[in-house]
Amino acid sequence: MQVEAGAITRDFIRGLHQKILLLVGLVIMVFVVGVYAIVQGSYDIALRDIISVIFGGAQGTSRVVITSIRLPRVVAAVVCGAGLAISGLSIQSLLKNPLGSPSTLGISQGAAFGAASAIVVFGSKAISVTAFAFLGAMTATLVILALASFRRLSPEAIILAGVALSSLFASATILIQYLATETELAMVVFWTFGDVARSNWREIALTTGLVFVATLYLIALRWDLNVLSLGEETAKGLGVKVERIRFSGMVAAALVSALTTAFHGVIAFVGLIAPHMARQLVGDDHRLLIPFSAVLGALLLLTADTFGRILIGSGALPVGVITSFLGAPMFLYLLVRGYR
Amino acid sequence: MKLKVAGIWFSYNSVPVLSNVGFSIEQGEIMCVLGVNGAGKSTLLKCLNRILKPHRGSVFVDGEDLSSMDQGRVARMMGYVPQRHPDTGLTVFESVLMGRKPHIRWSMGMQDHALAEEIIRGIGLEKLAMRSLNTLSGGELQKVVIARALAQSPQVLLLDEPTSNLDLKNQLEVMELIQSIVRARSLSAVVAIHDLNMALRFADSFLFLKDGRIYAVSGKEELTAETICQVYGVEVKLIRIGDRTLVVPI
Repeated sequence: MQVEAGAITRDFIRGLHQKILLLVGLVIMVFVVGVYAIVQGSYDIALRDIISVIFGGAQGTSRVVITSIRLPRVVAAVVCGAGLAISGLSIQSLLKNPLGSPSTLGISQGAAFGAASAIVVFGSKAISVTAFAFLGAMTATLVILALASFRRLSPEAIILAGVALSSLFASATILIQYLATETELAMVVFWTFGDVARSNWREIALTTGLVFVATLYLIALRWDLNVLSLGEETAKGLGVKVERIRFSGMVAAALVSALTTAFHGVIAFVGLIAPHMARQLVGDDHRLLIPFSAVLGALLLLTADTFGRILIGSGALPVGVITSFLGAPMFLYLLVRGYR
Repeated sequence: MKLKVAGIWFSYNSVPVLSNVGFSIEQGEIMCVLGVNGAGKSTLLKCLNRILKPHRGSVFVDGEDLSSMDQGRVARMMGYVPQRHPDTGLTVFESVLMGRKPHIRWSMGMQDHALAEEIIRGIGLEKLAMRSLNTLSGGELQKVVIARALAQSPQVLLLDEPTSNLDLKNQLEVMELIQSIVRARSLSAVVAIHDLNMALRFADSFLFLKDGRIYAVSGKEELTAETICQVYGVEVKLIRIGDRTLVVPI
């Protein structure tokens, strides 16, 4: 049946198209900042070197600097930023808690503790570090889920629970460090700073795959999430299996935060800020919120890492420090403004 | 018989909330559920569309038993308007469109958009279509939520205190809207409500709940001051002014 679109529908669809254009613009910005990040640094690289590396040319130092140092760092920043933003968004929407994110609920810290234990016990093998990071993240997630669904705590109370979990995991991590040998200690401490410069291509590929799958999953849930923002009872009345998607969505969020944390340490607040920036731009429709959050998260982390590296110079400043400087004021702002 | 409810039992943590509640409503009729706070009105509504699963009893719409259906199919038969609505940045058009959720597989089609628009125009909300819900007044919001329930294309409407928090004009407007929708679309509506005079004005029948049990089911004509007095524990008088009956506490 062919149906003529009315004036309201046409306005609505025009609005959607404008926002998709804006999204394309943001993707282009990510590319521009990415290229800038590859070109800039203590070793000068020309734009044409990047092009020739892509087409298999440019041997020697330029090639090494691009393929082994700067490009992986750029890609890691993009993927981690997108992944953390996606997990932050799904946590915020599923728990209906605007202050929720992997780092404010202790999920990242749980992952960090798991990863630190794995480093001390098994050495820094990717598989055990990842598995333990996931265990840690899942522990925190299950506690939060239990508190949110069985005790029906308020959003603020959930965040307080997150604070308690974070400090518990932080103390446990310190305990692990206390028991570690000097070499392990150095590894764990170095590792705890969130930093996108340390992962290798294999780890980046793994993270990319998972972030991609999680994003697809969230896109499949987009209407459920939209309906959930009308309230849990309304969502159930509209046939949404709230408990089921809440659990599976939180597991997906925990997986993504665990993997980014296992390979890059705790990068705080990106998962909090990016979804809020997206909401400011496109409202609460998850069809737009999901891609916008991912792209803004990527842009945010890439920009923070690039400018931190170039402005502060040495190239060794972990980006987790910068995102915390950006995120903590934002968190306070949300609290003071009376978030929605 | 559009909606038939047979012997519903429900308890929260083994505290009985509803015991053997059953009734039926015809097409084009509004039944108001009355009773003190905690009598089980909201629980009853949630048991009807299976947001809560009753421990015993059945609900039939058009002779079909809802307990054998998945939640999506129930949502295509019953539109539910809860008591509270959270803050959301969704626009009026988006949230009315959400009522099509039980009908879609992957995405909203042009028909869904057209239907949402038709309902918005029918209720006179077109000027608000692109406003977000958290900028609306209470009366506007209540109409939007009713519009969303209508977009489900239901046969039965369940409304949980649709007039609480509204001023007198908006209470009347919302109840008139519900009445005209129920009549025009031949729906059956169950409305949990506190305001006895609103109930007297708009209901075709009354269901009085007391401690989770049916105290009385009555039509407009059979309603007595005695029933109200027994259910609410307040002395009242029924007074006729013109062709209206009013409840006045004494």
